Amino acid sequence: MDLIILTLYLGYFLLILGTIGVIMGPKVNDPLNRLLNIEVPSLGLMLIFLAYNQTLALMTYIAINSIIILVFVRAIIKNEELEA
Amino acid sequence: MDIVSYMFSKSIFVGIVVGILSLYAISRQKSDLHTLLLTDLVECAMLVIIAAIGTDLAEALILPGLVVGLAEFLAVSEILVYRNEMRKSNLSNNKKLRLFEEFLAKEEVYVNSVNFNKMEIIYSAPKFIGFILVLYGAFLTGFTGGAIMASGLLFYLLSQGAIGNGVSLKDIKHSWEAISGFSGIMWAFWILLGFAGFFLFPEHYLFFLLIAGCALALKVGSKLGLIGSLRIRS
Repeated sequence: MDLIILTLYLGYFLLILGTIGVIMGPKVNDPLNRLLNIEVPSLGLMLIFLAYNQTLALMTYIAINSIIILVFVRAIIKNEELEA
Repeated sequence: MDIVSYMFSKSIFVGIVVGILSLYAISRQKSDLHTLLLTDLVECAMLVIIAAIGTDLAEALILPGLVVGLAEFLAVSEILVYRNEMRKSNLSNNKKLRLFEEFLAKEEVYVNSVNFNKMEIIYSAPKFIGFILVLYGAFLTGFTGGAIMASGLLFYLLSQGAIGNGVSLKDIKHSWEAISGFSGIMWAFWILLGFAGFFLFPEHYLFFLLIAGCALALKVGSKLGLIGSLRIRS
């Protein structure tokens, strides 16, 4: 089994396990914990992009991912402010 | 058998499993914010299924998907925040929200004491840069050329607005109508003349290709340039 297949399988593993972690992981009722858990499946997705040799998609996904985290953090902060 | 076709069914399977799991979690979820977070997972599943094709086509499909997804998240989270705000503050203080105000500097920027009007470069540089960008966009043609042209127009109009000698509101109304009409005419050139002629007279393909490319560049350029005139002070 060569390195590409291993990377791909690692990506699958992280993706499925991370999805289960986001859905029913520990303390996911806090939105911030859920946001941090989402990083695991997105890392799996990046490994899959890497294995398929899709450079542009990988770089764009990394950039977009960081912006999406900003958006989500803003939404979470606003939500917390309004509920307090 | 190469690796892409060997792993195709496995990738599709993983994507569908992730999609079903996250959609099921969305259906059980009551809080809006958690639903928004889980939508990110559905996007991951979608991207895996597209990436399983493993060609340049997949890459070309992923890029707009990512950008559209980002815009979608931005819009939906903004709506969520705004709705919560409305629901909460029907009683009293309704202060205006700015986009990303958590990440902006809180203090007043120390910039008003500088006399900008004395700087020569503010008046000469935008024309030059805008001109170069428009020329380069016209040289490129197509969607890319249109985008570059539009960025040139946008830069020029925004800088004029920043200096303060923007166009008056009446002028904006006229130029808005004019630019959007011009954009519509260019659309007709692109689709009707360019594409139809391309299929009807294949032996003159180069001529119609040039018409379609230039019309597309002008259409995208003028359409995006409209954004610039929005920001001009009256």
